[in-house]
Amino acid sequence: MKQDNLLEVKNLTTRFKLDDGILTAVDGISFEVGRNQTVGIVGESGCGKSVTSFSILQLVAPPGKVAEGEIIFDGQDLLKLSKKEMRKIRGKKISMIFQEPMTSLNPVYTIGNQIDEMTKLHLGLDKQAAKEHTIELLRAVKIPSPEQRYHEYPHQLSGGMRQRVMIAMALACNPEMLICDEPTTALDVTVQAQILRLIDELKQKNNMSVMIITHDLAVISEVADKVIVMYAGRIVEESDEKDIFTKPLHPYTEALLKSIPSNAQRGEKLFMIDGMVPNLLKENKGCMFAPRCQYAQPHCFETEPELKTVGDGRKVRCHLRGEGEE
Amino acid sequence: MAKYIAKRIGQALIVMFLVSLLTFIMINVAPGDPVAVMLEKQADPETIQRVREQLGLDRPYHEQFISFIKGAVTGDLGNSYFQKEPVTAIVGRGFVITVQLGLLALALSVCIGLVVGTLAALFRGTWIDHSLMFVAMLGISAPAFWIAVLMQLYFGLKLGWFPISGSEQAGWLVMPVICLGISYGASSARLVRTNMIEVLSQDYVRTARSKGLNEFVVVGKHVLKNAGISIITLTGMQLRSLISGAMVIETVFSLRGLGSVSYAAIMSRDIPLVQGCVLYVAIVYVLVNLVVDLMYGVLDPRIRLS
Repeated sequence: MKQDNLLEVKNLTTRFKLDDGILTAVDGISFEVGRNQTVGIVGESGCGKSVTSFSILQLVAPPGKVAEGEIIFDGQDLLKLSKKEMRKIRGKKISMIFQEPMTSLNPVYTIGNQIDEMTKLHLGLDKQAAKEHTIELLRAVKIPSPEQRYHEYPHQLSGGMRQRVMIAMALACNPEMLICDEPTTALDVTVQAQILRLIDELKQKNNMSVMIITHDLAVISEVADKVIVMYAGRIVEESDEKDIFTKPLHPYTEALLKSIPSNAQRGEKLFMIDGMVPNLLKENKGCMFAPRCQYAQPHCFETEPELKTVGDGRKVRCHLRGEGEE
Repeated sequence: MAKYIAKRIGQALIVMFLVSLLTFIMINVAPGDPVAVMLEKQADPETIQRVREQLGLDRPYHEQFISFIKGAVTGDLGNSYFQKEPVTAIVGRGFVITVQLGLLALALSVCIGLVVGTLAALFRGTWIDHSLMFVAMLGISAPAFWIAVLMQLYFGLKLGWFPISGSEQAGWLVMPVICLGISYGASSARLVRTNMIEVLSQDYVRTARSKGLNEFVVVGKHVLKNAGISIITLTGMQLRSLISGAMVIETVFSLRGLGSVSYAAIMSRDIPLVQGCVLYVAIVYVLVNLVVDLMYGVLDPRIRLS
């Protein structure tokens, strides 16, 4: 493993045993997150991006299970750890912010109580020290009058404030890595920008690596250093933030970029990707995107392309892109 | 808070007045004359008239009711027609038996419900869940009196471990408490399981796990308190029914608790005793409801703060 990689995911596969069959939500994906790097994972609903993040923390709820692969974090394979050892990673070394700030906080405990319990557990703080630490954290995420908010319950706060509380909670033990699963999806646009800026600021301040999962390309363009595009449980493209917006390699990425309404002219019909996401319960042949791809060739329906490196370290899973192509 | 409690107590007084009025009307409308029951058929009309005068039954209904209310306010519910002692003393004796039986049975029911329900929810869909729920179904389907008779036969007569009737010998509470605890606990277990399963799938439970808390804290702190509201509702309902007298079980074990006292009073048209029992049950209902409502607030700040 290279020295500057904090997280290295190799061939991760997560499956759900359902009544109708086995669903492979994440199918053999590999990627790295460098120290101090922000990696964005994009894709539409159901492409496996959230399951990827839950797999890293081993929070996949039954009937789901990580079937194979390695998740190497700071030199150790998380999948080989015992439950107890894994609990010491969660919250302390890798923290997570969830999509729904409205429901991700426990309604029957105060905000203070919910943050305190983490620092008491991982940092061994006593009651008073934990309280002071929490108030500091609330101040750091720019919550006004933190001493008062400490005693309040989630329902007394707005959505944006709750997401700030979630961020404060995630940062409580100075984790080395922060996973943000759609951190701004449930918030309105003005609050979105504030939250993203806050995450970025805190990342710089705390020297963290950040993995940000979203379906919103605007979010990615704002914060990510590296972008991973997922489709049907697979990585279809991996690029630097700048390249992916100017020169997308995969037809799916290209179509995603075209679908952003702001790129359309007034009076022009909005672009949309035809067809549906493939049913992952069924055996699918060929490229998963082929049925919806405007450039698809006959052989795209026959064999599945490999994820290959093209140009300066960019990766793409498409028959139409040759190796070493610029 | 004090204002809220005062308001609730005010409501309670109105409820108790209306309950007393309704009972009074119903017992006077219902066929059957207490004096005729008391003296059976041998008495001549003069004797019946004399007894009616002694008991004050010859006065107009409204006067009888007003004197009952006047007495009730001062804590005097009159004397039982048949037992020749104050109603408060009879109800008091029944109360001691019923409360011991009721509270212990409730405690057992809550323990069974929480343990069985939580385990079934945590192991949802596995053989543990299926077998626990099968046992719970048996507990719900088997009538308490049937379990009681089986226990009397085996533990009482055959093994001689516990007395099979009365409340004089040591250990008299064991079998009735177990019978009631099993019946009530089995239905609690099913409710607890359903609620726990719902709460376990909530986002905040995932958040709690993502913090690195162990499963014991996740379930004991984050899940249970949220599942608590409906558990409290059911527990309140069970408490009301247990404290107002488990008539069938009291009869099977020949206990002179409130259930059997009320039953005997109704059958013999012992008006003061019926009134006393009904008033007592009304007080219990009102108090338990108040406690349950206050508990909701303790468990859920969204209720408390609104």
